[in-house]
Amino acid sequence: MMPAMRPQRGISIISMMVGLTISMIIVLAMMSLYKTTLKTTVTGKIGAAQDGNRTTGFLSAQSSLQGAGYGIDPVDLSKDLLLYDSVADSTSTPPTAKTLSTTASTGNALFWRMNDGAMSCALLYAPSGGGLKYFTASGANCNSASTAWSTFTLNSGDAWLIPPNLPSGATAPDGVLANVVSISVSKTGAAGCTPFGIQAPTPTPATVDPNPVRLIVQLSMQSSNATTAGTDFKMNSTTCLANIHLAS
Amino acid sequence: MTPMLRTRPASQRGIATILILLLTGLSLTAAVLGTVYYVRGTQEQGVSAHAMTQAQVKAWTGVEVVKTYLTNLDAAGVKTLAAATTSAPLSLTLTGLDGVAAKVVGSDSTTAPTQLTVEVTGTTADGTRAKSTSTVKVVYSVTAGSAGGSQTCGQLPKDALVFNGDVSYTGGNMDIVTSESLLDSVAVSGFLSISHGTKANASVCAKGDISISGGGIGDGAQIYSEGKITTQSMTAPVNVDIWGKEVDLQQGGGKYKSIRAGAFKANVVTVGGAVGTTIVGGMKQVDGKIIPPSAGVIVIKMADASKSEFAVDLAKNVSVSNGVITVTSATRLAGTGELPASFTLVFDSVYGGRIDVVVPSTADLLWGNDIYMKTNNIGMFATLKAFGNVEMYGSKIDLLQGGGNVSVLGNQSDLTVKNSSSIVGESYLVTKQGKNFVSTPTAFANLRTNVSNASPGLPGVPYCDTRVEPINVAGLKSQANYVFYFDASSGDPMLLIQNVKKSSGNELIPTGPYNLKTTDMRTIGGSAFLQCEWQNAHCARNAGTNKNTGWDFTGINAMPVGILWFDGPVMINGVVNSRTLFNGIWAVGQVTLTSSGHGPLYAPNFSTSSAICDGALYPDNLCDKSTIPSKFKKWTDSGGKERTGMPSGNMAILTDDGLKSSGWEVHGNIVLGKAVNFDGALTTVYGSMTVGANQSSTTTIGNGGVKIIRTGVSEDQDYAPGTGCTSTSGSGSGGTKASVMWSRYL
Repeated sequence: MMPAMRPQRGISIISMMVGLTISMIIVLAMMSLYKTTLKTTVTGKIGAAQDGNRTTGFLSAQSSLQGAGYGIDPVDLSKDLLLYDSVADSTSTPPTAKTLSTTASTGNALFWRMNDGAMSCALLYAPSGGGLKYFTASGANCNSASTAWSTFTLNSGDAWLIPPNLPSGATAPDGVLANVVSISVSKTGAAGCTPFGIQAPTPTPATVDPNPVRLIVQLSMQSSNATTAGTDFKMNSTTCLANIHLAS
Repeated sequence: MTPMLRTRPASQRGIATILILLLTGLSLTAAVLGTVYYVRGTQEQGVSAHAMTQAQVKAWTGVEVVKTYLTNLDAAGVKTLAAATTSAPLSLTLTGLDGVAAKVVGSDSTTAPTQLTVEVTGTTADGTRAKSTSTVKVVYSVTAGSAGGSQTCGQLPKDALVFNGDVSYTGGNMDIVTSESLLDSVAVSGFLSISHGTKANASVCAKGDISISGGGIGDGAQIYSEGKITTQSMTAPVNVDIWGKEVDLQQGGGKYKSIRAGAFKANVVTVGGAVGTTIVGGMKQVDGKIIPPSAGVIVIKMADASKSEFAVDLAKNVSVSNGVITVTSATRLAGTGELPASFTLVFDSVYGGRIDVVVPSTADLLWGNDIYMKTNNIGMFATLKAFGNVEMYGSKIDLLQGGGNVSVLGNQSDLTVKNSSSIVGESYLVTKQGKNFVSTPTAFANLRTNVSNASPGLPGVPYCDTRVEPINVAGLKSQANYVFYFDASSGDPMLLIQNVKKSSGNELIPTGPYNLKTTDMRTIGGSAFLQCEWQNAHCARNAGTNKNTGWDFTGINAMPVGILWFDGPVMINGVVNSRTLFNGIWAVGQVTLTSSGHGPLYAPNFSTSSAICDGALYPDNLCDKSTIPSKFKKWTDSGGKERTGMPSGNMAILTDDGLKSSGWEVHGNIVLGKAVNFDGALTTVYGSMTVGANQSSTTTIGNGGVKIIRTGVSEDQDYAPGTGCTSTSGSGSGGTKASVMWSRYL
């Protein structure tokens, strides 16, 4: 006697295949979504962190710059505040400084001096690969830009005020721009120079010169949102050098 | 039947599922914590940037507050702060300003500070994790006391009559009467021209040239100019003292006390080289050093970026040794630089010095560089000094000192030298042969030639102090008693009463404001108050009083005692029965005093305290009613000296604009922002007058003229008001000028 055929139980291979296929599609879609989300999040995080660094870097630069010319009377623009262009890590002596006028002059290194009991000086250097470096010196080293320059190690990795967003020599991936800083300096009337929005302090030489001239320094770079060079996503930081009173 | 073997599903064993769950949970926790950490970091970065900015804003607010505080200090207060050092700082308490602290940490000098270093710290979110501080180190440039141009309490005028601008005097009078033997001075910052007038009885010091071509100058007057002095066709002067850069006297005759011209232009040299220049008289030594005279004022112009200038009084605070000049005190005229404590003056060139004289003239002293005597007559000079050459016709000279040659046109007997004299160069007799003049070396009696040390040097050039303090009448409104203004929207004339009390009960009169168009102000409490139009009529309701043309007070029948302040021009057009007005008239616009019947105008302090303080109403800011009889209030000047009568009570007329006056007698001081116009009849001022305080103005004195009477005017009455004036019981007078020179973050 043949045992009776038992009705089929379990799942058929077809339904399993269908199920697996659907699962696979869902899993693939999920993974793709996850990848995209992760990429966006990571890029955003990096961008935000970098922008934060840029902002705080600019703020520190501003605080230091604000002291330019402190205690120096009269300020000599051939010694006390110098703007250089095309400075590289290998530049061993200061190149010829740019002439400052009411039209903004742009460069990538700015040297200035101040005297608070003793002479001190500083250099802001924006390498062509991106980022911003800050060097200081004091005493006799600050007698001139040349003597100070010899104490600055321009290729030092310890002097970053704003670190570069790309490794040295690396090609930027699509949609990412190197955070190159440009430094521009222009002359302006005292009225256009109001540190922290307070009423422009009347410089003492105004007793003989009613229209003194001040200097404005602008640091600018692209924010992390910029994908192409342009002004849409430029971050600018403007500092009025209120200590420097020049005759008009 | 064999039972079917059936396998039962095995029960759960191991921890695979739990492990998976745990791992999933763990990774989720890690992800959440990571996110929290990241968000926290971003927040802190943002908050610290924000808090730092806030702290910086607070610090800068403190910088402004300290600056304002410094301007309220007097010289002694600034000196106290200047004693602070980094190790012993002086904290400033800034009440009502949270999160701002300031301390003075140094100065450039403890005795005469011009710079104060202050550290101002701003703190935000104190007590929280977001706490942030920012310290700004500021160097303030301070000018203690009155110098520097800001308004301060109690300014003394530079002279009885000060003109900031050119003055053309074509007629009428310009007299200054004083109890002193010397005529009091007129200071002119521009050119002075006197023509076709009567005698100007005044001494003059002008920064520009002086030209006198008609009329005359008072006996014994001093005519000083930093430029050239030219005279012609005037009445012969008597004992006049002439001193300038160059002098050209085309006027013959007369007697001069002295005629002096010329100076050296010298470099101010320190160890490091030349640091400035000056114009100075004195003796030039062989090595080029100049030994300055022991009197007079020189102005040293420094070569620093701020173009500093200093006035040095050679009679005081200066010692000279071997050509090295040591200055212990100088007045800063401009700039921020420093005058070196000691320096030498090294000859650069001769500055002016040419004197042209028409003889006959008589002078006790004739002293210049090159001297030319132009006509063939006898001049008489007690002493003749020339750094350069002298060309002369016949003269009688008691003593002659010359640094160059002496040439006499005519005969050898034309020059008479009484006392033994000497010159560095030669002496010549010049004769005319045909069309040519021929010089022949000739000896003259009592005149030794080729004496190397005979040069007399040069007299220098006078310094005329014509600095004026700018005025701002609007800023002095709070010191007035009756403020007249037009309502901004309706244009109605309004009156604000301030600092006025009733004598009975010492109650303050309600401030108002009162609409003069609708309110009857003819009497207050039964006493006559404001009455015009030659009768008991309302004031300020006439057609002449409106927003566009200002205030027209015609036929004043009653006017309260005290300081009147007008927001616009004002005209006083007649006073009933020639009554006296006891008022200071302060106006933002022009003040016009017409010739219509009127009495004198007395500034409160030039009247008596009973006339000002004992009426039904009295100005509380001027009167001290604590004693019987009443007195004028007292105040303390920056030197600590007590003065009687608040400076605001000294002013008869004070205006940002000009004054037009015809035949008024004014007792009190006049300070005008712009020009003056004396019209018709003589205006007499018992006090002082400053013209052009705000704007260099050309003044023409034609018919009418002005007479300044200084007799009986006390020094206390000379002070002009400024902001921050308080009586003795109040705080200091202030007047320090402060500005931010340098700042940096610490």
